[in-house]
Amino acid sequence: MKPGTDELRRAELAIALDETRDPIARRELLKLMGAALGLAGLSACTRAPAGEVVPYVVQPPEVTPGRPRFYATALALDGYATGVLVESHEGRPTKVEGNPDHPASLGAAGVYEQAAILSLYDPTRARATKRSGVVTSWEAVVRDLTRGPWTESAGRGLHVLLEPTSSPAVADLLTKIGERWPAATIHFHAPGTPVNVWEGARIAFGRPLEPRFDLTAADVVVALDSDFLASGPASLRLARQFADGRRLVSKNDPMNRLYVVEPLPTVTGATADHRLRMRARDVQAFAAALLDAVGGRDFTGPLPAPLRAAANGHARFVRAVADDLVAHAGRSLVLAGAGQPPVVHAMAHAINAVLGNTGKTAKMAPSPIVSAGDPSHDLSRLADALDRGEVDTLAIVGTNAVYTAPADRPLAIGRARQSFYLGAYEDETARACTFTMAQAHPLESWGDARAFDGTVSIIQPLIEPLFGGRTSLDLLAVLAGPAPHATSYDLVRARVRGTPGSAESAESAASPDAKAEAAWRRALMRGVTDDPPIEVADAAIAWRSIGEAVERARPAAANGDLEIVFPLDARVHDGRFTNNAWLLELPDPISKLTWTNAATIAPDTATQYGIASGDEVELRAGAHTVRAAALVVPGQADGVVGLSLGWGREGAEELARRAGTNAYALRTSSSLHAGGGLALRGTGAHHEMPITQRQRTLEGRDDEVLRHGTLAELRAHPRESAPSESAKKKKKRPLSLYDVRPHSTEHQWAMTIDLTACTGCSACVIACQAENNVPTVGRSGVLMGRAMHWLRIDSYFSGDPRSPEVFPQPMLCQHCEKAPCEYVCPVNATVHSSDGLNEMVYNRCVGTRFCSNNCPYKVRRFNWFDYHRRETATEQLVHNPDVTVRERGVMEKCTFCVQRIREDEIRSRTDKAARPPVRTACQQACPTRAIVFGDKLDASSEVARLQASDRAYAVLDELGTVPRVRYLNRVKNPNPELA
Amino acid sequence: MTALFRPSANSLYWIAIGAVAASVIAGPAALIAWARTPYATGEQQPAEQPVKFDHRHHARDDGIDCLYCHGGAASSAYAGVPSTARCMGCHAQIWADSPELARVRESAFTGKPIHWRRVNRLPDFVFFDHSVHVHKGVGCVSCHGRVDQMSQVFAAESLTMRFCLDCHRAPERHLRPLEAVTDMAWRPDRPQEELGRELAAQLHVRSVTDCTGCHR
Repeated sequence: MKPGTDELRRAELAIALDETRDPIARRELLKLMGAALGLAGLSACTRAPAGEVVPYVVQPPEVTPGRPRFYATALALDGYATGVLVESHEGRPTKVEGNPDHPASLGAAGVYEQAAILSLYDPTRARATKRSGVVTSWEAVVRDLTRGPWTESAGRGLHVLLEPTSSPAVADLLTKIGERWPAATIHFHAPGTPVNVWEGARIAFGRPLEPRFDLTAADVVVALDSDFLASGPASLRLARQFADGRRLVSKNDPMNRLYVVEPLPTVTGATADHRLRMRARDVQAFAAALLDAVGGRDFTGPLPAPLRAAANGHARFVRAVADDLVAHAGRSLVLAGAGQPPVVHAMAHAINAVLGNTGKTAKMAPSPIVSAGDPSHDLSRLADALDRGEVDTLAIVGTNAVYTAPADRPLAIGRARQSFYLGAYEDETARACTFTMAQAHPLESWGDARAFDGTVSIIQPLIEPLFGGRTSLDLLAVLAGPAPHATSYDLVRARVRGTPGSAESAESAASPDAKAEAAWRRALMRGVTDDPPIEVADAAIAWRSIGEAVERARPAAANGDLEIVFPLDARVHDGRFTNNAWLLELPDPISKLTWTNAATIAPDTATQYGIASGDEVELRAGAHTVRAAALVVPGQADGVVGLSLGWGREGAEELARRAGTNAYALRTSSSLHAGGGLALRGTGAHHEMPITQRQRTLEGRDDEVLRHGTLAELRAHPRESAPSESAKKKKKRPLSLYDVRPHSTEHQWAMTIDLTACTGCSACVIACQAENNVPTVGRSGVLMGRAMHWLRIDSYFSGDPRSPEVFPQPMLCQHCEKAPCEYVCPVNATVHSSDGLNEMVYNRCVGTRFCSNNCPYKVRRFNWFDYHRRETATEQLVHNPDVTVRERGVMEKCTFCVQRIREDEIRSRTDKAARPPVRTACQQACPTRAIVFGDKLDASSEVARLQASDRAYAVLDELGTVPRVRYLNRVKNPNPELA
Repeated sequence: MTALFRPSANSLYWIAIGAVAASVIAGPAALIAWARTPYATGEQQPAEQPVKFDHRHHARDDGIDCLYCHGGAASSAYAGVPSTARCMGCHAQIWADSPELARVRESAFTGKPIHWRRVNRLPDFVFFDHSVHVHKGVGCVSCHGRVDQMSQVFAAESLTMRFCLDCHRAPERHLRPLEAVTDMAWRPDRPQEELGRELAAQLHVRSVTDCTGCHR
């Protein structure tokens, strides 16, 4: 066992003992059990209701009832689009998957994209157009919106506040609004806008460009407080490229190396080969030292002494990283996180330029975001205009700005004569506005959006707006021209038809109209239009400007205070997803916290302040104070408190209210991402923390559970798990009492999970939840250990608890060939199929839970309640019709997506057309392709090859369960100089 | 003092004990038996439909193939009920003003679908796929009976799990050539078992008895 794990273990033991305080006494329990037994029989006395069959009046020719169809669309987050394919059953969208043809998706889908389907059916979404709370009509809105003194003065007094957008159709309308009302003012606002990225590029290149990274050509990557593997516009693509750069097919394959410097532990930090934790404000000194060490002083001049001194503590690390970067000049990359100040971005550009990476691993290109780098992205301009009473009519489109505005610059919306809000929920902003309108969900809307590289996608609706919502295009069209206003469909279609692309071949002889129509159809089908991506800019680096910026940079005074860092939340982003139960119940990738946020704090800092996990703390920064539950997180930098954005909502969203602490109440315009001067004190109150995984150490059983090692070790020792033939014979499987069952020779399904590629991003968890109708159990359910995820990501800490290594491990039913659960089921409800699946038969299960007790992997979940019964008719629409919605009292678990396997078997017998091999939902969503599923008997399949790999092992192999899921060990590539 | 209970009370006591003990067995057994009665499974009970549709005219007299109206059976899990437009394809021409068809015309003109009563119903946890059965030589008549002789359609079979498994365990007893799948009156020209075994080999029919074959 590694030193230091004792402390963690003691904390876990305390939790375990704590759980014996059972509120229900034993006798009480026996009484209740007796009653339950008596009543349980009655639940069988129901007769199936007589149903109806309602056919189409005119069946659309493309629809075959029972066969899902997939439509390509896109979902934008902070303006950047990710292409998706949405599964639709007879016009009812049920699942979001990645679009392989889209550059930001490459076939994968992240948690936000996949969870969007649940928000679509959220019954608490805004439904009505209201004026001061009284229902009115869209026509009334249009009438009042287009009236006012500003119509007499070229638009002076009209302010429009939008979410940052990359939509060409929106850009066209904004141009039209600008022409019609030249004095009107447009603002953009979202907490995740990469303003610092643009400003950093302005320092380095004189223009607000955005870096476009290519990790396929990067052997050494340094992330300066950048969680590029899990957040940001191209994270799915970067995660794929990063994983491809370290996928070990054989042990002699090359492997990239990742250094991460960050204040809070992130998915990227957990994946790093070397991770250095430091305060957010110290990262600039580190970046400066790195710039200096790679030879940047020849270009930008020597470092200012204070900045150099601030990084002295990390001299060895800086030296080693710099040497590694220089050794891989032209094949390395330094990335800076969007939360870091512009000067850090400028220094990252400078390092890349010195190393000759610019144009190779980091290409600079104009941002796809409309008005990127423009002051219109600064919300304080609107706050000022409101304070000065210059705003007559304010239209807010899709951004909950009242909630997300900095605490020191609240928006005095009441000072505008009239205000309009088009929003998905009746949230904080809706309450402040005169008129509120329901915004259509992206899956109900026509629109378009650009990916990180400018590729244009069509956003097409999967369903009519459920609650009569309108799109932002609808509202902007009202301002852009006189009635009749164009519909969003017209606007999007006209634009695509107007730009027939390069892909003209057979239809070149056709009429222009036919060509335009073909372009439109093609765009709808592929999900991307023929528009070319935004071209990479030929940017010359401005050394002098960088030198000046570095000269001005000063290390923040370290006067013993605490630093507060406001990350975008890994689950609810900036707060827009706080009413999505899937995301609320998704455990944070590092802390495994659900249903709330917490003031995260390093173990040593917690000890210093006498704080333990769950203690309520009061955080004071300047004039602002909030209370939050503290959570001790190993790996966090000392002296830093992390409080993620997006919680503590007060709008009309049912689930969002009262969950967590509102970090915006503490966040000022000078500390948008991080700030100093934080005071912390315990209030004495205590909160229970809904955490899904409390056992965080491996108890020294690394070899049995999660094998890990370094590349050097792998190369030096041809592993123990591939022993010689004689050793193999010696290490025979333990004798079994059970007969080997007859196996089908057609297919034997199996899965491998590459722990080297897995980042722990949790896309697979949401994919599984969406595909398999997995219910959420709520905060209280999680506290009682009743979370239902069929696929969870266990994450273990190893080594120094101050700065441990983090090992994520997706854990799902292992489909043991000798499954312990099957032997103990008294009613044969869990049995083995001939093609190697551990089957769960819900209608046989009587809920003894013996199987769960006998499962060494703890992957079986019990339905304590009819979780789906509380769902409204609207919410029920999200269910996958190919999977049973389970009742109270039955066990459930991963089925290897058996519905997909069986469907594929049936289609192979009825359709002659070639089909792609069957894939599980988790495999499909995985950005890094860590999960591989397939037929073990097919020697040419990837899964057969991987299962035979040197690195493959079975978890808890010594139990003789013979799992069909094999893991590939986690290999890291540390720098020998830092050993 | 006379005895409180007469000697026969002993017998009554034993009979009562026996009856209680028997009811523990008989009660559930009766429920199990009841669930399998035609009353409980709903077989043989014609459903009152919104339109008096008579399969005898369409399937027997006019010789319309099953798949003309229930085309989903060949390509999807659901056989489906024809759309109003499919009905009107013919009935815009023939019997165009029959009062029996008023409801169909109303549906076509108003766009409101007809709500048919479901006749064959499987529990929600059963995932049955028509297409694979049709492609593997299972005749419509095997599960649905002589629909061509029904004035009002009723469930011809119990469609219990046992009914399914009887065939899944020995598919050769029920297979027929693909061209005879929708033929209501088809009879094997040689012993069924012999033909069935031949067809099973030819069509690659498997005996699927894995639970997840139907329960997912």
